[in-house]
Amino acid sequence: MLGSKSGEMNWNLTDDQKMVRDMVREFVVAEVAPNAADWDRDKYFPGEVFEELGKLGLFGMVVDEEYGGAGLDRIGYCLVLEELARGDASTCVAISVTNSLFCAPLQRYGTSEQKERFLRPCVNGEWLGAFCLSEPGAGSDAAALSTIARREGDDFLLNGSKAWVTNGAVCGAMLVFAVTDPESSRNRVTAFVIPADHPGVSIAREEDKLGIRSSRTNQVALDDCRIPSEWVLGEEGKGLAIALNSLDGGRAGIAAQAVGIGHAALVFTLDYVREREAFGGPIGRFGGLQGKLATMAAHIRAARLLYLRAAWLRDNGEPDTMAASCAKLFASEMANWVSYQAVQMHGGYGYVTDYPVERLYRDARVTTIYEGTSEIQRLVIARQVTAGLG
Amino acid sequence: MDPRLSETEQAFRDIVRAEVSSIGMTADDIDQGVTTAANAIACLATAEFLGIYTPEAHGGCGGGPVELALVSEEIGATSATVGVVAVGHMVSSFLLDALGSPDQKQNWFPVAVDGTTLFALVLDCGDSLLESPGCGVSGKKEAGGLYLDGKARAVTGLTLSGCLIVPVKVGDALLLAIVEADRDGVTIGVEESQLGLNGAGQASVEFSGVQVPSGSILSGGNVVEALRMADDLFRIGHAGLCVGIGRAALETSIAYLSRADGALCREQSVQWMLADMATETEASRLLTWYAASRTGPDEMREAAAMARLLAADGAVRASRSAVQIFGISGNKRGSGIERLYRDAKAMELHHGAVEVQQLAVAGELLPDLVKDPP
Repeated sequence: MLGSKSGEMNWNLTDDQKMVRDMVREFVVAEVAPNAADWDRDKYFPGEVFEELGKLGLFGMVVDEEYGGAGLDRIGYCLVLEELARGDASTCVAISVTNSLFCAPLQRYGTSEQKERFLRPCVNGEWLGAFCLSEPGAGSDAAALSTIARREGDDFLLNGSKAWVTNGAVCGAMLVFAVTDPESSRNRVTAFVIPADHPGVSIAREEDKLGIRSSRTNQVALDDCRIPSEWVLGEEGKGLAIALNSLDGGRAGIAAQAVGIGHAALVFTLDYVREREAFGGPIGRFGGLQGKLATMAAHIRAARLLYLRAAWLRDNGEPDTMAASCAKLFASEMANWVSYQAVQMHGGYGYVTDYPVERLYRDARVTTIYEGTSEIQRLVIARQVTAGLG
Repeated sequence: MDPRLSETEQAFRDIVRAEVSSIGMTADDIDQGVTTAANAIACLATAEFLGIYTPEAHGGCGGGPVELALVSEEIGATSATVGVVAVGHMVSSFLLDALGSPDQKQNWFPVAVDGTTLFALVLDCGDSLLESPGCGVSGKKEAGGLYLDGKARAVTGLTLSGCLIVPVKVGDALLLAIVEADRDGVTIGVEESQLGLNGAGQASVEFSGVQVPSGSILSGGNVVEALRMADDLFRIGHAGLCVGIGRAALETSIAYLSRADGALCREQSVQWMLADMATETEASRLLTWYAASRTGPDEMREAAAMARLLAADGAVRASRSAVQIFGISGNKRGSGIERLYRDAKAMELHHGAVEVQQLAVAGELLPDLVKDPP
């Protein structure tokens, strides 16, 4: 016999994963979602809510228990991000960056001293982290960085400008990527971990954004910023690999964020098409809208499975580059399409701030841009599937 | 959570992949009417794949929806035409198992498993099972059994099958009758030429006072419940076929690029098409596997319809990109590429069009507003 009724494929969450998801869902419903529109309107970073999120341990979800973290697996972490994004994508991104682009690389590459100094405050909910890779002239082309870190004795002197830094103005410490060997093509960039209030570090600009408006996005200036060599993260010259690995790990999280946005857009729209009446009854009885809603739901479900799979691969030490890129690409494009359709189904009400889908539409937009644009994801995937050709 | 195939499932898939590869050699000939799908179906029977959904006690593999999804993807990657016939046969086996008496199973499973008799479900291939039950075939109970009258158009696998499973309306009741294709009063039309899925034995059938003995009525269970499950299995099987088409489009494109000038696969327009094909095929595959691994009927219903919806769209998009990558040579009849595109389009219509799948999902999302979700 060739096969048997298997039932072995298992998509079930563990009790721990369900517990943390439900805990965050409860908090988001009570404290985040009801305020998201006001925070967005006022571009208000809700520090008091982040204090509570910090107490819940969400700043150090991925940190090992040895350093006081929750030691949450990647699946649980992504589930938390989806829940946060259902309530407020701005809140979600601040937590996402802190965990996947600050804590995770520190956890993986940091010395025990670095972990004690820079991870503990995250775990204790005292500060958020930031990730300073992009520059005004170097985004997707991360190898084209121009921020310089010149060695002077036991110190490094950093000069340059970092752009699109999430949490820049509200973080306690940041990872900074700078050129230490301009002549080298392979060992050009080094990663540093730097306290945000260190002399020479300043916030040069606050970005005024289309979406995720209550999160902080800043330009960070490094002017003769002198730091000790103890703050080098990982090996000198291996910064680009650290950056790319961190971004790989973050992609499933951004996919989860996009799924949260898409899910919220669908739920609000289902409510709306039940309530809104036209031509003698609720508009949800029209087949055209039903078909669109069904397709939205199918895409959201598929995107969720993609991020869960990518997270599972990372949890199990399997190669996840392609899976994470597929998840990020599909989910972020989905969130844009789904929120577009949500606005469309709301008609004029979807175009004004009285209804949340207008915000979701704006919030979705950045998901195809940050932590690797859709175009970069396509290049990554194409390289994987054509490996060995050309 | 472990969203991988188990070792058993992987081994099973590998065996299927190896066995069905020979079908691919004849896929274009089947499409163009040079040969029929009968030989390919015989290959599947020899490899024991026609018994995927037949209990082990009756000589089958005793597989479930996951195995159905896996075997469908593999067949779909070689010939979706063969796939739709095979899925119809496998779902028929499920109905025989769900509703058949011990004697009926004893009689029909052996010939269903070894492929000497192929089963076709008599319903318009544009319909889902429950959308238009009976397909216009009605029955009258008289002395000597049930007498069938009526017709169905565009039934998949009809000209290839020895046995038909016919949904019949008898008054308000719905039942299933097993009817031999050569029984008196059964008139099968000429195989229709189609845009895609050519060679799948699609034809019309007319029943004129066809006598069905009581021993050929499947009435050992809840017919409506069994048809509902069969509908979901159709969706999973057809979603698997669509994933197979998408995979074939991707793999064929990569193989073409490996033979072509290396500069072509460095073209971003080509790279992006490959990336989208890979991503959407993987999304459809995961959704199909997810649907196949659901245990609750309602959960499976929604997920299967979602999978079917997404996979058909993904197959059309992937095969369209494959034709584009091949350029003008992809437009050539017999190249295999344009067949994928035509077959994918036909899959958007086959056994429950895209709109039917959307309604099925919408029925779960808005049960209060969607009337009589299929």
